[in-house]
Amino acid sequence: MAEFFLNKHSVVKQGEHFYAKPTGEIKQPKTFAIYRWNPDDDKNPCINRYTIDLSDMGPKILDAIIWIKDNMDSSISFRRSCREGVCGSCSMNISGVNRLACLESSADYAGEIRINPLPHMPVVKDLVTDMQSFYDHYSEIEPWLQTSKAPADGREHRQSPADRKKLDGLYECILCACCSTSCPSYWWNPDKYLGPAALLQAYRWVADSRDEERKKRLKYLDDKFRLYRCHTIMNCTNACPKDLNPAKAIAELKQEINQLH
Amino acid sequence: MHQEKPTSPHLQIYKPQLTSLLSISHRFCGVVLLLGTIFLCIAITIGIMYPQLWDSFYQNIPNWITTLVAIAFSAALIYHWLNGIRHLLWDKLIGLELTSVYRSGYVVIGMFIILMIVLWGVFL
Repeated sequence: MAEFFLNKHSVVKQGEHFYAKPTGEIKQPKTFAIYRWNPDDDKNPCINRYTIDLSDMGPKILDAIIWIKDNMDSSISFRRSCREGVCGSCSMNISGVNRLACLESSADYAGEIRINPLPHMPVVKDLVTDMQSFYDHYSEIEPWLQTSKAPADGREHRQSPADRKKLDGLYECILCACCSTSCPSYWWNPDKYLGPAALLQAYRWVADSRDEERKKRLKYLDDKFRLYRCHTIMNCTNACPKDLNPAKAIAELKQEINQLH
Repeated sequence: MHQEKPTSPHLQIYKPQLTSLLSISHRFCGVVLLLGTIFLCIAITIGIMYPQLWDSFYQNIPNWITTLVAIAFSAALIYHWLNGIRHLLWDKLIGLELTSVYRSGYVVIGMFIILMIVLWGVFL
């Protein structure tokens, strides 16, 4: 059942405001309002504010958060790795929209930059969310090539350039979860609806000319929760930091299932 | 230590975008249309079976309320119809690129305003 409001221990309180240095000395001031929650005390989540000098650090929002961790508050937790939009670790909600912190420039945001964890997820600590259900949905669609026999010449399963081209716009997904956690349907049915990321990948295997289990895959998806909780809201496509189109992939799946009947 | 994990904020913080706003209004208008249609059926049935009862009921409602209800119902109908065309096209895999989604969204809003002005400019 959809829960539109945060429960008692999830309600976000106002926290403290910290300054990197005396305000007069800050050349390019910017305030980051960051969601904090510590499992080790009994307090509710809160928003702490950090006013920093952008001229002290690199241009990206991830640079700023790393700077805050290095210089102001070492207890702040977040995921990051490649710092160039390839790994998908630093996905978070930046001023209301899900984005990769490493691809967004601090200077592009007017006013205070609000940093929250990916929406409607269990929080492990600060900006780190429990991704288990998201990965479970991904494994549910069996994201691997399924064939009955090896090619006669003993080489790899081959594909024409035209068939390979059908996978463009699908295989580039880095599973950052920006799309799934932007989707209200996924918020209300996180246990049963697969969500845009897993469904985009489901279509990636349905569209693969080498895969022999197309029908089985489509039959599995033909379910009022797994696939049809998608109401074409389009928040997913709006959120994707890799400019992919999960909503379109889902529409293609619905179309393919329709032709199966 | 073993505290229950909080749920991260969602509706509270997510930026309202054209995509989600048009979607939730579509759903809201659908509910209004359903309730409105049920009300309409009941009203017509009562009107036919007990004309005097209906007359006394209708005459006691101020004019501005009936006008407001009529405007709201027609607004829900026109918006749901316009945005419904969008959904039908999407199901035919038409206009699913993000730029087309925004363009068709603005067309729906524009057409909605024009049709409302035409409809109520004629009636009022």
